[in-house]
Amino acid sequence: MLRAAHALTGLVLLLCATGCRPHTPAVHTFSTIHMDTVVEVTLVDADRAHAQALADQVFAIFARVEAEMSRYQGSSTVSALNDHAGQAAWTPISPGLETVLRESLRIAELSGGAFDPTLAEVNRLWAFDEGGHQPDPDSLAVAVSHAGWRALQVDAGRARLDSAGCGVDLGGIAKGYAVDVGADLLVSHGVTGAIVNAGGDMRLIGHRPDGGPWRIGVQHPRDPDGLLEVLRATDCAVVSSGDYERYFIVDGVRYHHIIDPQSGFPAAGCQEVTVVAERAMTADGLATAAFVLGPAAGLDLLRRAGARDGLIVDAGGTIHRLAESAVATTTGGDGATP
Amino acid sequence: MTRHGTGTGWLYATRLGDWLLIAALLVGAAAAQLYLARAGTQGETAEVYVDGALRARIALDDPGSTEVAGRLGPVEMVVEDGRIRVANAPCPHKVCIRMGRKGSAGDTIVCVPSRLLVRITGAPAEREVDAITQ
Repeated sequence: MLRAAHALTGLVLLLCATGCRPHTPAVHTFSTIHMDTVVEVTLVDADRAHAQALADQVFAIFARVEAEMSRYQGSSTVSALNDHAGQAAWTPISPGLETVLRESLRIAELSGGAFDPTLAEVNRLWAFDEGGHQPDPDSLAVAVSHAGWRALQVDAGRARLDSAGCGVDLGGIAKGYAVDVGADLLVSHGVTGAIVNAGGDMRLIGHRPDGGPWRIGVQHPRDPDGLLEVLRATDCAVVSSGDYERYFIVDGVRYHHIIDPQSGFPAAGCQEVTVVAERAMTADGLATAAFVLGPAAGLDLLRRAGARDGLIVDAGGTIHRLAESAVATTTGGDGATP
Repeated sequence: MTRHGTGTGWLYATRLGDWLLIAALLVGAAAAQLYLARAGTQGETAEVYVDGALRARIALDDPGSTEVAGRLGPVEMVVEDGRIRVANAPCPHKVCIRMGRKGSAGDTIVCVPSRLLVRITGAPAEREVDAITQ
C-alpha cells in the first residue's frame, strides 16, 4: 500500500515535470494588407480577444496613413499637394504628414539627396507597382529634371512644391511612420511584448514571452528561403531595403524599385541594406538612402545619422557592417552571392 | 530495523517494478511531448481573406482546387499533400505563386495586388525567428 502511494506520488510529480509548463502569455499574430504590403502585428498577451482589439487599432492607423499619404489615392493629401505642384498655393497638412515630410527633408539633406521624397513621376514611369517596364528615356530625363527635394517646402501645417512636374512619393518612409505610430499606440496601452511589421519594416517592443530578445531574420537577397543573419533585439526599429522586392529582368539586367535620384535609374551599388534605429520612419529613409549611396558612403551615412546598427550587402555580395552592435549577433550567413 | 519514516525511506522501498514503471512513464511522457510538438506544426485549415474579410476556409486534408475572387480577378489555390499553394493569379509579379506550398500552422501566402491573404490555422510551431525583415 505504501509503495502504491509512493508510486502515485511519483507519477503526479512526473506528469507535472513533463506536462506542465510555467504560465507564459501566448503570442498572437494578426495580419492584413495596407499600403501595398502585409501588415503583421505580433502581440504577447494572455487574452487573444484583447490582442485582436489592439491589432485592429494598429491596422486602423495604417488605413488612415495610407488614405492621407498615398500618391495612388486621388483623395489623399499627398495627391492634393502634387496636384498643386508649381503653384503658389499651400496645401494644408496634418501634424502626422508634416512629421513625415520634415523627416524626409532631414534625411534628404543628410544623405546629399540620395533619399528624395519627390520622385513620384519617376516612379510612375518605371511602374514597378504594375510589374515594371523600362521607361521612355526622354520622358525619364524630363521627370528627373523636375524632381528634387529642395522643391518641397514645409511650413507649420502646410506644404507646397515649387516645381511643376514634381510630385511627392512617400513610399520610402510613410510605412515606417505608420509602424512607429502603431508601436507607440501599443506602448501607450501597456504592451510589453510586440512586433509591428509592415512588409519587413518593423518596430520591436519589449521582449518575447520567455523574456528573451526578439529574433529577427534578415532576408538573404539572393535566396528567397534563406536568411543572411538573425538579429536579436528589443525596443528598436529594424528596416530593410533590397533589390529583390520589386524588380524585372531584361537581357539579364535586374531593374529594381530603389531609384537613384541623380540618374533616375535603379541604384547599382547594393543588393540589400538593413538598418537598426530607434524609429522605423528614420530607419526606412536611411535604408533607402544608404542603398543608393553604396556600401562605403552608406555606412558613413548610417554612422552620422546615429543608427544603432547597419548591414549592407554590396552588389558583389560582400557584407559590410556598421559595428559589432550589442543588439545584434550573427547566427548564420555565409555571405550573399550576386 | 525499519526504514519507514525516514526522508529517503521510500527510495529503499521502491522495487525494480516501480523503477520500470517510472522509466516507462518517462518514455511515454517524452513521446507525448514530441507528438504534441510535431502536431503543432501541421496546419488544419487555410483561411483566405480578401480586403480583410474572410472569404473561404479550405481544409488541408481535402485535395483539390478552389477559386477565390481577389481584387484583380480570380485567384486559384490548390491543396495537395496537406499543403496549399497559389496556382494562378492575375497579379503582375506572381510573387504569391513563387511563395510555393504552405502547410504549417502560422504560415501565410500573400498576394498584395489581389488584396488576398492566406493564413494556415492551428497551433504554430516554434520557429527559428519571430519575424523577417526584407
